[in-house]
Amino acid sequence: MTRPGDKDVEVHLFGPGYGESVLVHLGFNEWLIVDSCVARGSRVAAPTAYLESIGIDPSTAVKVIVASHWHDDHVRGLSEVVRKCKSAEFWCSSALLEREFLVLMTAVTKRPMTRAGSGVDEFRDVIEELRARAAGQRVAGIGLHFAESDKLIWQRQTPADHVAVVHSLSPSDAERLLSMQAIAGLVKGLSERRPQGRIPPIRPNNTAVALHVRIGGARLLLGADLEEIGKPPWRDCGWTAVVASPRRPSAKSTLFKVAHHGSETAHCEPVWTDMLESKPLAILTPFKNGSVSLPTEADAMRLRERAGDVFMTTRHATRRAKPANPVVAREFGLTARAVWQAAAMGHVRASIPEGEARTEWRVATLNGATRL
Amino acid sequence: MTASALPRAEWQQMTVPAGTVSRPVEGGSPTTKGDGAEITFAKKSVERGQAPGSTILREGARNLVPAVVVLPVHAAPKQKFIPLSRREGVVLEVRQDEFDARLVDLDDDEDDLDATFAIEELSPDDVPLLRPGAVFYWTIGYLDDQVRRRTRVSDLRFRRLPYEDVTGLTDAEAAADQIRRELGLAD
Repeated sequence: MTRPGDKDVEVHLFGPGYGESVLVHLGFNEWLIVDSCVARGSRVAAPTAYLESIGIDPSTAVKVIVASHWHDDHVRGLSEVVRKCKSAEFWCSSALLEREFLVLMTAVTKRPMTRAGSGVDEFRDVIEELRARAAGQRVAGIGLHFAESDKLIWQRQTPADHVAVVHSLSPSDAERLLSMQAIAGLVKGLSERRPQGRIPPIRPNNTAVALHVRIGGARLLLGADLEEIGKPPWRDCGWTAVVASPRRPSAKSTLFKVAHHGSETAHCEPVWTDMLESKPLAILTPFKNGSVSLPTEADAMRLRERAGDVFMTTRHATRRAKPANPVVAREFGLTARAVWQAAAMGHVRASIPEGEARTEWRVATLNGATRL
Repeated sequence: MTASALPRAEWQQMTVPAGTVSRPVEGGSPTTKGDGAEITFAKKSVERGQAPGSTILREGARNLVPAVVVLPVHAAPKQKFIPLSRREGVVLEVRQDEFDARLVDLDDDEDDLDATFAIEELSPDDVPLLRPGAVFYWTIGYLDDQVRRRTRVSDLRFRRLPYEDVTGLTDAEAAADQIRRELGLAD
């Protein structure tokens, strides 16, 4: 692994381990990080660890951090990313800094002795990092911003042949309202004398921040976990709203970080026809949570039909757990029907070296990454 | 007076009339105390009906000095649990006869795990607590009982959490307002 040249375009996708993260070289050693993940048996955030491994200082090189949403499978290590990338702006849905979410976050993280987090805990640590930045500074200095549909969030206008522009495509106004309603519902639940427990994820995910990135002639669509419902009350939400927006960047992308691990719930046919070039490169991470395992075989088939090539960071999100202690291993088998642990974190690197045709991606599959 | 004539609560200590001595029981040694003798019985022995009542007192040898017999109290061996794996679980999804959970190692040695359990593995008292978000503990280890017999244990036990504290919620609201002020999101 070596650091890219000034005009080399690189997109790195890490996952699972725990989480998913995209790292993009915007050119001239300026970087974008979307979400975070950590390797199995590690608490080190993958995107910053990778930058450090190739001799890049994240504190100056990373310009933008985007928290696409607060679910546990996208934010592990994000507070470390925010802490290390001192000069980066931090972007997330405004719903995550509304009073209701902060009440929920504070109430939940004050509970005693609950170790199994829900993503709220990691986001609490992110907020603490931002508060530390804010201490003694003017508000404008802490670099906290809200992503929403059709919003320019970062750009570099020079040199003219290698401009870099990052737009957020979501959440829409309707999604922000719905997510605030959902969060308020969770807070209301706290005061209804229910026994304490883990905060469930909000479905559908109305806080997801999808991005369109242009770097020189390369265009990327980073889908986060943005879902597609397409029926009331979600008509103005999800991919339907993104595709329909007249203000979004119109240029089609040649690389798609597939939304929501390839799930049917995130599939929207017009995305493939209106926002992506024919047969784009598709990259994704797998996901497993209880009985839900993504992508399914049907999802994989659908992606193969539409993409020119599809790469995944690891074939499966989990594998059977193998405890070192044989007694524990035997009891796992006797007490549980199945026990899984996260698969090792894989790494897909897609790149366009300087001077090459701008739609030809070179793909490297690292640490167990594979073609789907 | 014989031991059996006393209320049970007084069996642990009694005075033996002068001129008799009891058999040292369970390693106790006779000692003199004035013209009488004290005998202390192990409470455990009494409860098991092994207290040397009148029979023992009648075994005293004549013409010996009064004696006090102090019988040592042997604490029963306690059971001991040797943990091999301790995990906190959070229920993710409940189906008809099984549930899925995320498991976090409480000793911080191992990675998080996901697991599927049959509901029939739960104690009946825990089944009503089974719902998404519920917290439980899964402990695996050895239990050495009072007679030093070792049993392998795999125990699922749901946590009985208190209801949310409304005062805590008020505190959370105040903290949220403070965060928003510090981040410049509110006046």
